[in-house]
Amino acid sequence: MRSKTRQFTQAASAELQNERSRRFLSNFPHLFLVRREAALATFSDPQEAQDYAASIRREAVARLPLLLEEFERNASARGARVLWARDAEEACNLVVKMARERGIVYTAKGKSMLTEEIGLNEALEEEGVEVFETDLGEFIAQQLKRPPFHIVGPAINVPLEEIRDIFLAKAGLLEPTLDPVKLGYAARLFLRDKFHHLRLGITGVNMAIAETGGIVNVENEGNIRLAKGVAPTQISLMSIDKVVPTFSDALFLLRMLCRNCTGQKISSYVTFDHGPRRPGDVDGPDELIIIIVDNGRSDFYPDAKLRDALRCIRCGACLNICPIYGKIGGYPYGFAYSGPIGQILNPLLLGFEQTRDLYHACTLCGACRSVCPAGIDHPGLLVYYRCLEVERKNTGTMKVSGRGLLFALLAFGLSKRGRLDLGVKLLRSWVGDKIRDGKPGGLGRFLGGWLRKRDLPPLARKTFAERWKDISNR
Amino acid sequence: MGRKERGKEKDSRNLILNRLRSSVSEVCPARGVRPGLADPPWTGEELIDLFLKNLADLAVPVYRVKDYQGALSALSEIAEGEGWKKIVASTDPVISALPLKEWGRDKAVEVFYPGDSAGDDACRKVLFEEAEAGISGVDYALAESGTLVLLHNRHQPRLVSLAPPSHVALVPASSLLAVYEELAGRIFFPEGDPPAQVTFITGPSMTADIQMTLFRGMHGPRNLIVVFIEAL
Repeated sequence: MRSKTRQFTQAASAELQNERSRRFLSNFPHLFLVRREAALATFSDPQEAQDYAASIRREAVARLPLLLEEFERNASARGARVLWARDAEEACNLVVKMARERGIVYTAKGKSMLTEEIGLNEALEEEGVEVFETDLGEFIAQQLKRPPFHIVGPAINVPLEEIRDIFLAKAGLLEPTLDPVKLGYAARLFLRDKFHHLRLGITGVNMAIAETGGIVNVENEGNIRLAKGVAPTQISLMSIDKVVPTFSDALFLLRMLCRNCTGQKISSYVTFDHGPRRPGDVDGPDELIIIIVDNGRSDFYPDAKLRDALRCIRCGACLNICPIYGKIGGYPYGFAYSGPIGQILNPLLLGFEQTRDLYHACTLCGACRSVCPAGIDHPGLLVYYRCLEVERKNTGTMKVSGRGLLFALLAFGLSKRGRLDLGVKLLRSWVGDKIRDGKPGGLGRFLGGWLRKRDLPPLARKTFAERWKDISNR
Repeated sequence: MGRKERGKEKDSRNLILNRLRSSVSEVCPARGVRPGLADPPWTGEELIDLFLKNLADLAVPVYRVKDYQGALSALSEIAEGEGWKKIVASTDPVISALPLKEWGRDKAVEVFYPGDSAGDDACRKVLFEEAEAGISGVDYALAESGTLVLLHNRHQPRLVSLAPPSHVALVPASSLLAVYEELAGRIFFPEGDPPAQVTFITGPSMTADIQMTLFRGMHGPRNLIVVFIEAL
């Protein structure tokens, strides 16, 4: 996927003016949060449950290389073919090559954020393989050539009129309608024909179970089940962070994923695949190919802080609660992942240079952290990104910036009491002269924009310390 | 695949794993006890009540019957109500004990088993275009969320419970478990080849992707109907 993260500020400003987006965003994230809370109340102690899920994810990330090997060994023993790809290009090439070798004309895909990240659709289409997204939201987003608005509901904001028009033009809708159910039904009919004759099904992976070698898909529509039930070839792509230690861990995370995502106890369908169909089975794929994709993750894995980004299970709870996302929606983030997790992941996957606005567009309120079932400290990571940026700048040019000089002086001044008193005495009279109408206007040139919006009342004649001394001496 | 490419894949594998391995590994503290749900353990009638309540919350119609005879009567009622002409059925242990073909002759409903089809294409056509319902048993049912568990094999095809517009699941009372974790020992351990696919089904196929409006039957069945058999 081509990233547009550089245009964050511009896109965010535009979305702030978009009446429709604003109206939509004022309702739907809140609704998800209410459902989430009700669903979590099915645990005897919801916080304890969140903490336990976080400890599973923490362990999974800590033991990542061991778990990946264990998964590969067990999945292969069940008859799956496990392949590895370092980056987006290698992953796409593997899929394209396998499609070509099998004479594939079109493929039907289950919803997969990873395939958006690596731009698989574009790669397949360049080779003449037609791609049909089959999750209703993804299908709409694909037809409209629009990025996902939300990682769970990619087109949940799109107005009915737009869906009607695009379905009339491209998805076999016969009569104009604004009934969401009729629109959905039209998509069902259109895609059903694709499923009926499907030769290659492509899916993502919600979890990979090291202990059993199985992959797990979580869905409500049945499109992933169809992709895995009909086609003779199934290719499932997973990023390296999808692996979990045991089957019981997967079941526990399943509870947390669904409750945090849509507020369901569990989604309509969950499938566990262990190898291709067995001899005698009447359906299921003849070959199951699992591609484990790195795409930059092992580059930041060595950093014990950054590695926490790999804990994410993509439930979307952080999007729903984020006050920034709640104003601007998913488009400005400019890549597969939006909301707080997009602010965390996109810089790591695309580089800090072109995602600067993303990790600065946060007030560090911590709402995302409070709901995260994987225990990610989003604000902590964003502050860390900002620190890294400052360090990079300073070591890069070996020049002490104005701010650096200021802090060096401050450190010098604060380290001895005498220096502090002297400094205060000198500065007070100087600063006092610059105050006009309760604003530090006269200092403006020196400290620039930082003072523009701040008030500074006239300074008292004496400092607290000086008055204290007077009182004690009396 | 040429040798060069195979070599490259092996390279990628080792490169990724080596990079991960060379990082300092964090030692995680031992995990505590897995937190439980609000009310378990459920047993006996309580377990059944919870299962049925969860199905009711999902708006899944339930026929609670005594035995196979009762199950056939329930099927007749459903078939009549829905006007079935042709259905598909699994041949799993629950269904194979049911004289479905005779029942079908009696009710003028054609009963098709994917196993007896002439070939893949013919079978697909029935599943995707002709059958009005798929009938299957279940291997397990989970009370905590009203979930049906199907282990797919030659007697439990994947598409029977998926491709037709309705799915009728026959659920023996003895298949009912309280929580997900009880499956672990039953499906994967002790040793043995697990089924190629295990499916959890909880309610009908649905989506709310257009303006958050609920739509049942997006890609899978619009109707899920449960026949709960007490004596089995």
